Amino acid sequence: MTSALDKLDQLEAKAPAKLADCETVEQLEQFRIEYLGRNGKLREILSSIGSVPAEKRPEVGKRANILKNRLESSFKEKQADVDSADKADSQDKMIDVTLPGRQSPSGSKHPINLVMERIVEIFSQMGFDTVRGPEVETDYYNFEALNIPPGHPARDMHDTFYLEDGRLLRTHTSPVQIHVMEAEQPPLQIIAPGRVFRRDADVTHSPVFHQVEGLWIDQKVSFADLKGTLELFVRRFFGAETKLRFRPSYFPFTEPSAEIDIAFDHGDGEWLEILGAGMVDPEVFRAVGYDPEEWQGFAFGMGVERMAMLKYGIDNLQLFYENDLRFLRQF
Amino acid sequence: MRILVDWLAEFVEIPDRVEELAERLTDIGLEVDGIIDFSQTNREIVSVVVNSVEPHPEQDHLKICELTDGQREARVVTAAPGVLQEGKYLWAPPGSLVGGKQVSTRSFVGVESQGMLCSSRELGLTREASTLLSLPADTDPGISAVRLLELDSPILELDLTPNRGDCLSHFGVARDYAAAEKLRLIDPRPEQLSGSGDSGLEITILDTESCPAYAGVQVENLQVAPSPLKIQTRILKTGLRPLNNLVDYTNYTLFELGHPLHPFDADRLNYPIIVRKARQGEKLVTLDGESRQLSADDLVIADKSQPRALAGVMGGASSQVTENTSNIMLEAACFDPIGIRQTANRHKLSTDASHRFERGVDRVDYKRALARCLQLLQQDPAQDREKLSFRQPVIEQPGKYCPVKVSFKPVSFEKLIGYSLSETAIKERLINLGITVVEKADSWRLEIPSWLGDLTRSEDIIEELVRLDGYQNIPVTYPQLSVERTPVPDRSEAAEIREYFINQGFNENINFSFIPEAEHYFGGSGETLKLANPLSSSQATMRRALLDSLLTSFEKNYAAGNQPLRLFELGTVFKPEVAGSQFNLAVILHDTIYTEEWDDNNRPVDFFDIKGLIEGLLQQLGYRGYNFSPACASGFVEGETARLEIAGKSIGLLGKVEEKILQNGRETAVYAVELEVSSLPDRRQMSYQEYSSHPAAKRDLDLVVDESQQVGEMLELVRQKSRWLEELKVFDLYSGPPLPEDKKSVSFRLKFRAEGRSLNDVEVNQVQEQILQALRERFGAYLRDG
Repeated sequence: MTSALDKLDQLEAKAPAKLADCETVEQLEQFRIEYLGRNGKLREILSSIGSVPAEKRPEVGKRANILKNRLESSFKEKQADVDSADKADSQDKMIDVTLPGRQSPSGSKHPINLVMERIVEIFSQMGFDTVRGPEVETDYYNFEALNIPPGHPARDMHDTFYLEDGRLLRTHTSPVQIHVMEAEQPPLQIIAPGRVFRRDADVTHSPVFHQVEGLWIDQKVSFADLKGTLELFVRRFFGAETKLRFRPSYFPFTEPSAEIDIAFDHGDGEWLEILGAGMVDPEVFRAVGYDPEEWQGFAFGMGVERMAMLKYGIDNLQLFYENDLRFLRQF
Repeated sequence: MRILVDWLAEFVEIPDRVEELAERLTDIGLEVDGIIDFSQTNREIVSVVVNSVEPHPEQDHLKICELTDGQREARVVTAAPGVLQEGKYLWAPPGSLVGGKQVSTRSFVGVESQGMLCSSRELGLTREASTLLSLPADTDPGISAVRLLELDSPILELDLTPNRGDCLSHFGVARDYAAAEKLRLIDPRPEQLSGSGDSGLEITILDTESCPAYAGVQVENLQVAPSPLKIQTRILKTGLRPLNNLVDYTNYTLFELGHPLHPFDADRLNYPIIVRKARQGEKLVTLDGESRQLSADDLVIADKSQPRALAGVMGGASSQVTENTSNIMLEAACFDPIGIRQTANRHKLSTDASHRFERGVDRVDYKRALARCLQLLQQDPAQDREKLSFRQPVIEQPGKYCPVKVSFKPVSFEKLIGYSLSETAIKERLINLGITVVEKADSWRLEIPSWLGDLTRSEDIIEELVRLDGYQNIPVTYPQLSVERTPVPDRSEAAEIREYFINQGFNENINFSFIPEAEHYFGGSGETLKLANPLSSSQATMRRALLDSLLTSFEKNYAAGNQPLRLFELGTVFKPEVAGSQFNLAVILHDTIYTEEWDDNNRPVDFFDIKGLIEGLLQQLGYRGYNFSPACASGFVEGETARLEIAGKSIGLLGKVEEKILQNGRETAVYAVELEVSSLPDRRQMSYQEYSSHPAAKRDLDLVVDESQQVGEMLELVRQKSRWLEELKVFDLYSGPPLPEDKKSVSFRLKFRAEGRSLNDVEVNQVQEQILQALRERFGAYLRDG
């Protein structure tokens, strides 16, 4: 029987070389079990240390421990080498992660709705209720109740589509004001987005387009408040640097009336008309049975397509209704 | 409307910079759309004399003119009729600019033309085609067009709102500008309309509602000739073509003062002048050569024998002023705006005159417009002062004019506008406008001048005040609320549905509401709403289904090579049989489930993709009790179409689109959905329910039934019969050997779970037995292994 000392000599000579020869995960595992495992050769030496003469025990113990540490750290290094070599070998089993993934096509919101929702959101944050009205209207709601009697020259501003049954397609979202005021008592604060129709088709006119109408009725709502409300809206929609200009205009259902132009700092300073507005005309209040002595307020309306064109730099109105995906997918 | 800056400057002092003037006018509500400068677009054009006119050897309608500007000689080919030897014209030499375009030397059928002779249209002055601009005989050759026509004075393009009838003239604009800027106004109008001797005419107004005032004066021994160049130039710059001195002076007065006048050839009239409604069947040939069938609602100026003019709209050919006219009856009248508008609309005839009468003319000073025109005639160099005579005018004013009176409280300004103006400032503004102010304790009495007839209420006065003070002076404030409010949000389904489809990879479309009569495939067979005045036959009816227009988007995109196509639209449809409006959703699904094509797992979409999409939507919206059943509907393929019902109510259809209505994309099937969003029942209020954390019991049932049995009905029965059922899935479907023919196997996976305790095998088995029994009885189902 060889002594523990002899075995240690043997181990010190052979084990590092054996480890160096290992090339696969399996061989390494074999080595670990044979030398470093619970029943491995190193453990065997340490457990038989009792058979070593007492004076040699410290030396054997020390050498065995040094060997153990050395083998363990070499083992780890070797293991790392083998691992990476192994990985490189098995490359043919890996997937090509650079192939395109399985995607559903990407969806998009129509820019008109994108803009309409943004407009409504801003006014909603200011406390406006969102309401909608019918697209088929009677002459009364579209014109008469809005102080545009038959024969009024302001009807020239509205090229109207009539239905064969005598009704018409609303030319603006303003009739929603009348519906709401007929149904509810003031104070009122509404925003009405929707589709409108005018019998006009050329480069700058579409027979179908969209508007957002606003109405704020209370006891003390003034023209200055209209200015404040619209300024807040415009700056939130187009950015804080947007310049505004209010200038006198005319709508039969507001008095005084205003048109609002904006100009961008980065633009050429050109004024761009975006909104019509004014103080609700007392005739409109009379038509819905409100007392004009008690209530006052403002109304405004804007074209959604125009807002979208300005916001996104779209220069062709027709694009909105062609529904070409090369356009729609940009939003 | 064009406003000539040099003309305006005759009445009021204007700023040196035209841009400043334009800005100020816009600020007071007279919007300046653009500033035109004809001098820049018409450089180097000069007057010439034509020495000879020869016909072109090859082309009959062309003429070859030899001309000179005094220094250069040139040969010019022209197609313009009426070019005369010794005539004076404007010549654009090669290299010069005409209406902004450069003139080059061109060859006309072998004859080279050195530049061109110009018409007013080519210069950009008028729109309509016109003959050559003929210069007065005493014009020297070699004078630049810019100097001759005073093209260096800019022109403002005004876009006036319909309430500003008072500003449809140079004097009107000057009057408003002077009031705003507190400037002195120079009035070109003589105070009195005068004449001498017997009037020589008689006027009878039969319809005093339609014609409250009419003035006429007979002018005799006139010479008809071209008007002086200055008058012609101004007429041209307003956009009209000069004709002769009589017509030009009435137009000049129109553009200067805003009141339309009309000259009749007096020798063609058979007095008295009768202002009356037309008789049924009467006809009138108007100045434009049209023979017009008159209606009993049309007001005419007639004489004893026939209608001579369509009142306030256009004169008649039978009494029109010609080269041979020597006596005229000049008319200045006031007509009812609504009547004029109706007549103009009825005859599709909008003229400078009707435009002004529709917006209201000055009810008092119309006579002074007539006086101004007579003054211009008197100063006309073509007239023989000795012979020219103005007879005593006849003025009929059956309609009484009372100045409008408005009571006005100065404090109301602040209440409506939100800032205060001192009473002194208010009064000054009102007086500048020509309003007479009688101050009383707190309410003033205002008398409105005749040209501001539409100021009738306190609000109108406030509007004038804030307009003249300037909108830039209005402070920026935020409303004080009388009550606290919580806003009501938008109808939520549409927004939720929109988000859902966008997340599922769909592109939202917005289409017109119109479709051609013949293309209502999906709208069913119901009545359509028809437009009485469509823009074209392809836009003549209102859509009953969104799919009919969405399918057009699909075809266009397909043809453009845009793939894959997943489209949706939300919008109103129009059905005469439905009270109120109906709001729909339409979806089109086409091509494959993924965009990438390298993967063998990719496949064309099928019915269950579109169905799953709708089921997913219903779950997202919170609906539970819905049902799909086989359906047959226009536009869809029978056998691959289902109707969706919720709570027993039909909501819409989904399925495969019929090939015969497709032009493109037929190689893979097209699936479509049309749902009535506005018919969706109210949704459950969302609320939390405690979930059980006890284990679930699972059972798989492999059932064999006849091929003809519908799985949906079996599932419905299982749900009814299953206590504790948490989940029910179909996990396999098979037919073929070893199953008998006409049989299929359907595999259900059931998951049971109770609240508060674990289920034991015995009770689950009991439920399973009940289910099997029910399936057996109703569908003849049996377990595959048993």
